[in-house]
Amino acid sequence: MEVLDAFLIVFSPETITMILLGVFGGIIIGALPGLTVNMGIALLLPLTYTFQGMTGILLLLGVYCGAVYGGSITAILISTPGTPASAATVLDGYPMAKKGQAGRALGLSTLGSMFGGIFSTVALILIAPQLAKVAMGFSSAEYFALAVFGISIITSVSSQSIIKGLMGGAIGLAIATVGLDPMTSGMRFTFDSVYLMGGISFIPVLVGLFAFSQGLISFEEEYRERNQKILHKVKAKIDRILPTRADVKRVMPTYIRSSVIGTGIGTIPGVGGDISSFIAYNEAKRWSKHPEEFGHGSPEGVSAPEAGANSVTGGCMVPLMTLGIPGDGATAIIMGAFMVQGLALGPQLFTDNPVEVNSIFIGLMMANIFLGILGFLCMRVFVKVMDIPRYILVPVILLLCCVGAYSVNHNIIDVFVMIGAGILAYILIKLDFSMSPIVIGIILGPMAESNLRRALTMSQGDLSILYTRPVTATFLAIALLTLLLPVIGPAVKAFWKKRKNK
Amino acid sequence: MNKINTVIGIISIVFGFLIIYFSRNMSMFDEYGVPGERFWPFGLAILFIFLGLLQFISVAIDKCKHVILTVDLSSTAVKRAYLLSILIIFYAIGLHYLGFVISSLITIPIIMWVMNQKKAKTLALATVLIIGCIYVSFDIVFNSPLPTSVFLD
Repeated sequence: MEVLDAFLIVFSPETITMILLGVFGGIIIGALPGLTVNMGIALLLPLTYTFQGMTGILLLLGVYCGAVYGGSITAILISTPGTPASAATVLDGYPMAKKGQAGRALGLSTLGSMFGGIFSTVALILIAPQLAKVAMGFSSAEYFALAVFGISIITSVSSQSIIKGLMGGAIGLAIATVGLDPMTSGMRFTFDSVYLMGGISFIPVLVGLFAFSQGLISFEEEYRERNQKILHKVKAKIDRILPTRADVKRVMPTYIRSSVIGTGIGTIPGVGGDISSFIAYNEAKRWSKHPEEFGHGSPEGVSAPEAGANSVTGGCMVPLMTLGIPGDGATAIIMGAFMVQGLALGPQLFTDNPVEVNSIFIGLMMANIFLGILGFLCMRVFVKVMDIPRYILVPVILLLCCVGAYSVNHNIIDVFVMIGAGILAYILIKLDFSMSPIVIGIILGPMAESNLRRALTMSQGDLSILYTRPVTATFLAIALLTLLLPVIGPAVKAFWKKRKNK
Repeated sequence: MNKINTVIGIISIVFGFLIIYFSRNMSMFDEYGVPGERFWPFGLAILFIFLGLLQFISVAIDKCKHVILTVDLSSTAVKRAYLLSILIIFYAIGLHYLGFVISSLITIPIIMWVMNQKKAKTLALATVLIIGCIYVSFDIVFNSPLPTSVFLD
């Protein structure tokens, strides 16, 4: 019955149109160099307020799937990956385009992306409910440990410097403390401001961190490119896009292998599509009968990274839906949309909102199917879109940021908060900070705080509750290890090397 | 990068002490030993101070590595991006006093002009199209009202 209800929701004219538009918009965002997946989702996040129920969330999932795939178009045609996840696609996609096989490369990447996305959605449908059952017995102490685990693992892998990653996480946690205390309703850091009593609205902050900063970066890049006279014009001729039966037969094992890799990697918080696509590419080369073709236009070389990157989308949803831990920056923003709709992510989602869970499964499946259909039918449109000049894109992004931030509460202060967050993000990016830890801190901070305080209230202030419960202790130990490994790891490695040499 | 990383460390420590200062009137624990409002911010402050100190140590240990890396915070391209941010702040003020349409009619051509698009026809057409698209999407399709002039309220 719940599945039927979910079908009715997803296939309602409004929702299905929004998924289609989301995928279409996502492909365009991914295909435009300089625009990121996170930026696209952040820009559209305020719009989810205007939709009732699942429509807004499914729109964002459509953008997510579309944008991850869209990056491959520029990677193949102009050797510029639209998203970091498509960086590995350049290695063989561009040589194929130079050999006059741009259509073949685009066809294989489209099919690979669709295959990877559908594969990971099936994996999500199979794994998520089982994992949620395990997580059902979690209490406040376990949830606190989970939140710490989520924050630690993401902050430590998403920035070049682990200290800056952690500082980013701490900035997010600090932003989340402003406003009324979640337990006692006492005021914290409100400075007698009525606006701050409700806390700093997180959607304008997200829009600023991901979209406004990206607008400024695009503006800066345009100036540099203009001065250096760099042109990104598409010259490759696109012939037949639909892959031949022989090609499909040849790359099918690569699709399956890469999808397994991508789904597995996606379930690990913090490890995104870029890492997945490179691992999938390396494995494809290792298993290939023609490894010598890699780097010179191998069909497997295009298929592997695309299937690997897109299968991360379903994988990332596993920890998000079952444990309430976002797998990367994009899913952290999508988590914000769930919060907007009043849906609490975690195992209780599966018992309290089964219709919504099934809607996500079906919606994600549909998004991946649309991705393939649009990829094959509208490729020439997407190629044309790549030529949109930045002097059009930059004002559009900046205006949408302002209007989007305003539309959340119809409050002009939100626009100033967004601009402040955007300028801060622009400077922080220059200083080698990553934005994802900040978002993770904002999203997981309240969860960590309220559960820690609840656990300590239950244990009457006894800290042993954090290390005597096996699940809590395990997650906290993993979190500690994740934080210490980058510091201790090289020293241990050097020690073993020295001992081996002796 | 050495200098900048040291400054980041200082800012982190200062931020930690600021949190401690501003949370001084909040309660750490209530009479039953239950953590109060200050409990979490105090922990955060300690974390900021600890990370600031770690940053100092990291700069001292990896001195050579940090010297190679450079940070661009003051090139012409970056300064222009700062100016654009200031323009958008004025745009936000304009949204409040003039509303979406008028302030956008002024801001979009300025941004495009700064980005070296000087053709009057393109400027006019792009401005009208962008404003039209945003207006139709937000106000009509998504039923989300755009900012109107405070004088019209």
